[in-house]
Amino acid sequence: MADLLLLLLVLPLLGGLFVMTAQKNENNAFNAALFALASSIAVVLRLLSGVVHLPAESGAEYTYSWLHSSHIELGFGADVLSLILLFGVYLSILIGMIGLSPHQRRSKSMLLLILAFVWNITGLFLARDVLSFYLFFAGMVVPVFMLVGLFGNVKKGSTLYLYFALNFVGTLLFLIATIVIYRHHLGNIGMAELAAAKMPYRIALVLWMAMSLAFLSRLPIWPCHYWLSLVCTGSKNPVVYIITNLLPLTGLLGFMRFWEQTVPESMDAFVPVIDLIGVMTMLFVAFIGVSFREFLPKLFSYSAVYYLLFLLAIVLLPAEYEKNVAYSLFIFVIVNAALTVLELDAESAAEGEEYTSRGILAYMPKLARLFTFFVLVAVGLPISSMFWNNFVVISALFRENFAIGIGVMMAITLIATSLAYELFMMRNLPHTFVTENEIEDISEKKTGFFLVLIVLLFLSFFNPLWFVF
Amino acid sequence: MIAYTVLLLFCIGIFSSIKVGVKVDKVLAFVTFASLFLVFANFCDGMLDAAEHSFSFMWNTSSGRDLKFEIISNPYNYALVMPCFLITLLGCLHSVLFRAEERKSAYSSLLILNLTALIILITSNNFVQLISALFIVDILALFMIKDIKAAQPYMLLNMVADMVLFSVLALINSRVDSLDIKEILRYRQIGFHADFAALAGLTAIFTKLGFAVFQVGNMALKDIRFHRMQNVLLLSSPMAALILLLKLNMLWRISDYFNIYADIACYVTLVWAFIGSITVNNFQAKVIYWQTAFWALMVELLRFYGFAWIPNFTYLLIEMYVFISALYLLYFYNNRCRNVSQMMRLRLTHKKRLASVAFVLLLTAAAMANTLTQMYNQENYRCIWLFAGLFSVSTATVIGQVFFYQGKRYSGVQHDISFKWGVFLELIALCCCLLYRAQWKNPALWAVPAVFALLCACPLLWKTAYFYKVRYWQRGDVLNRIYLVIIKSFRLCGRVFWLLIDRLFLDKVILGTAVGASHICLRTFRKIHTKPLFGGVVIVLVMIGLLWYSYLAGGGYNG
Repeated sequence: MADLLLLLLVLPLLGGLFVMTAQKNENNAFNAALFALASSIAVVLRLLSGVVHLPAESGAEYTYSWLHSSHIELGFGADVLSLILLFGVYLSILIGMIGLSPHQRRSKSMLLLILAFVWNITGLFLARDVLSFYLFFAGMVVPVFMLVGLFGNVKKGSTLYLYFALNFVGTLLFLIATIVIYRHHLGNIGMAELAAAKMPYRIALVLWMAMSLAFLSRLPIWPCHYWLSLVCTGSKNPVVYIITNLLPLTGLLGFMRFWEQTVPESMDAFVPVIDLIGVMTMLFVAFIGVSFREFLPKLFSYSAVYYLLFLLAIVLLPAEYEKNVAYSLFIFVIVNAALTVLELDAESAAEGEEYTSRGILAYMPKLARLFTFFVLVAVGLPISSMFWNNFVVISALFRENFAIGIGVMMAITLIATSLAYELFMMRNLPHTFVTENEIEDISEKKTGFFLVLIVLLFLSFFNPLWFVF
Repeated sequence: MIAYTVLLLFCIGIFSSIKVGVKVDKVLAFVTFASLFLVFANFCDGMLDAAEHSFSFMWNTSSGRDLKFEIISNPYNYALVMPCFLITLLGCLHSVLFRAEERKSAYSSLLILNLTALIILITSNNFVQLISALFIVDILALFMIKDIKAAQPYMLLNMVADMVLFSVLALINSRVDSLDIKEILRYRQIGFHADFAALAGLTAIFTKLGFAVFQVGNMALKDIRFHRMQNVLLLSSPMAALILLLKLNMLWRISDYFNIYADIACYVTLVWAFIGSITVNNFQAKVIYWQTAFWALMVELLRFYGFAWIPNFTYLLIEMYVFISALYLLYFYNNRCRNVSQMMRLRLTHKKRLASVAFVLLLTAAAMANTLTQMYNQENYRCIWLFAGLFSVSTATVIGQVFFYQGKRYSGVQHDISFKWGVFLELIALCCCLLYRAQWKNPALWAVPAVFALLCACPLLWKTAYFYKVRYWQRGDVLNRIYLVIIKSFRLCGRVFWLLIDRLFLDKVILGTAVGASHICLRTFRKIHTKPLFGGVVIVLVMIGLLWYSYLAGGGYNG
């Protein structure tokens, strides 16, 4: 079973090979990429079903070592947490690919970059040692930068460079942390062993600062949220938007993997700083989300608020809540991706019509129903497992700190109301928006695909892992 | 067992939502009503020998703690379900009798599914089931309203209220580490931010009930179809809020401010509803004000009765339903005209219909008087008197205006609107059932309808029709406008934050400085390459700096 881990890593590369060698007709390369992603999902589900049934004493994970040397031993592992998140990531990229227009599907270079990102993020989720984690953490910056630069419609070049610079600085900081660990231990070290490692206070401080800043640079925390928002909201390509929006997940994963291990007790005094900035950013971004009149910036604000909620949960709460965070994140990334694709569909349908996409859903009944469902899931109604898991997480946040709990709930309420308000505006037909042109509704194939997603989300309300047999 | 009823209701609800042709739809709506009636009969049968039963299954075990779905059958829950069931049944009957819906069966299906959610809410024993059922009721309300413009403020306000309740329940759970509602008692002992939890939760309940200051959500319903408005007001979020008020009563009582807060909210609402109901021209808006006043009365009475659900509360709810149904008849006979100023002088053309509505209204007044006198005691007399007084005056004013006052008739009025015998007989039968238990020697039973009739004929009260012409007043409740102000202020805040912090500080100052600094560096490097003298000076300075640093790093003069 552990060999499947290797297969999971190889699949995107194989997909890339097929994409490169695909003939120049309309869909060959796209189908190859889609197939690579679909088979990756199948492998993840197979692994998940195996891991779920593993006894808890074995650590409930598979491991695979792929490089042995005196100082560097690289290994991969998979537990429920990483596999469920990986499943969510694959699904959201799949949703993005389904949302590509026929013209966009023909771009081989885009498909190659998508698969490169998939490969990197797979490696990141499976990495079990510091060096592997660093390699994939740094590796994914290149495909993301190229995707955003080539296909992301970023209006200002300087925004793109600054976004890259931010990620690059984060990567450099993590490199410093990796070197510090290597120097201190005379070799690479597994993430699980890091906790047992005794370090002098100064080294621990440098390590902790470098790692935290590296991960925070990926998250939409103030001031990093600004560049992320500029890059995200300008994009009209669903995959680019989704992938850019998945990047904060890597920061969260970093905190999940390293927080417990690297934070020395003497550093506890710094933790409230992260909490404070986190909550303030949540409120700030939620307010900004309310002020926008378009759906995509609101969606970005929504995702920023939720990413920060998960960050606070990881930083503040004990490890036993990680599963709740993972289940919630799983739904969150899927809903985010689905809403992006549906919104861009609505926007493209409204293109050429008067004004904005407001009122467009009145002309597209099928899309309106799908859109409504996903917005209702996003705002946290009891239609998916996000509701129950968020309840557990927010309860625990209240236990830790009442003020943080209140701040988090205010931000969530604000952004949820803002999303719901925008949904009403998109469904409400203003007098100014009257078109005589026939607006094409979402296709049957896409509707079918989204209906499958709806079933997946709804059944998760009863059991988040219902798809694991 | 209530669980059995829930299952049957769910099946009927799903079955009647099937999309069929227009003719089959009528049959399906009737079949739905008939099957609902049978389930109701079965439910009443179960109610007679209601023993404690519990149906439960493990809902979710994934998060390290067991989450149970429970439907508890006991006499208290049966009594609480009873009015909801009866009103739903009447709603389905009206759906059959009136031609108000294009798809009658689908509408009945909505009502039945809403009832199912309400029963789950009533019988729940844990926070998550409670809040889930509440959310489901609110989602179904969206479909019941079926008007995006009206649904917007209603849903947004209810959503905020739900989020507040979610936070309060999460806070309690964080302290007691249990989802059981009974654990609120333990929270009372722990008392962590108890006042906040109680008052925030209570505010959410009042928001859902549409009390003064929060009435904008319910007031938005004035533009939807009358029967939908009636059912939303009596069966949807406000009813769910009343149930929550009962179920979480231990939480409210934690706070010392509860009594005074509830008193102020209820009395202000009563007075505000009175003013609104006599001055606003829109007939449906008047109905909403009366319904809001009624909820305020219910909250006060429940508080005085220690949150015990006695049969009189059920009677009151049904009486209110009958009262609004009679008003619906009035509205229907006026060819669904919404403005009271255009409904006036009904007696000229619709004498028989007028008499039927008046008769139902008098019987309802008698039934309400009977119930309220039975509930009257030394503690709640002020509230009952205030409600009875204000309610009688405002309803009599409007009925008097519609029946007798000389105003401009609605130009589209039809003279051949059929007399609704079915609904008339149904309402009479209900009134008779309600009056059956009355004590005939009770003077209020006779006095209240008499006073009501006299007030209807009082020309002085009709003069309030003056307000119908004041455009500013008719533009909407002053407090309604606060809703828009709040939304705008939030938007403005967001915009200011974005401009000041993101655009000005981050983009212009920080980024501008970084870009400026990089330009200076680039220019310096370029000069070093192109201008040998400048480059030489810079290099020499850098070298001197490095030498000085190495000197200091080596211990300086002491070293």
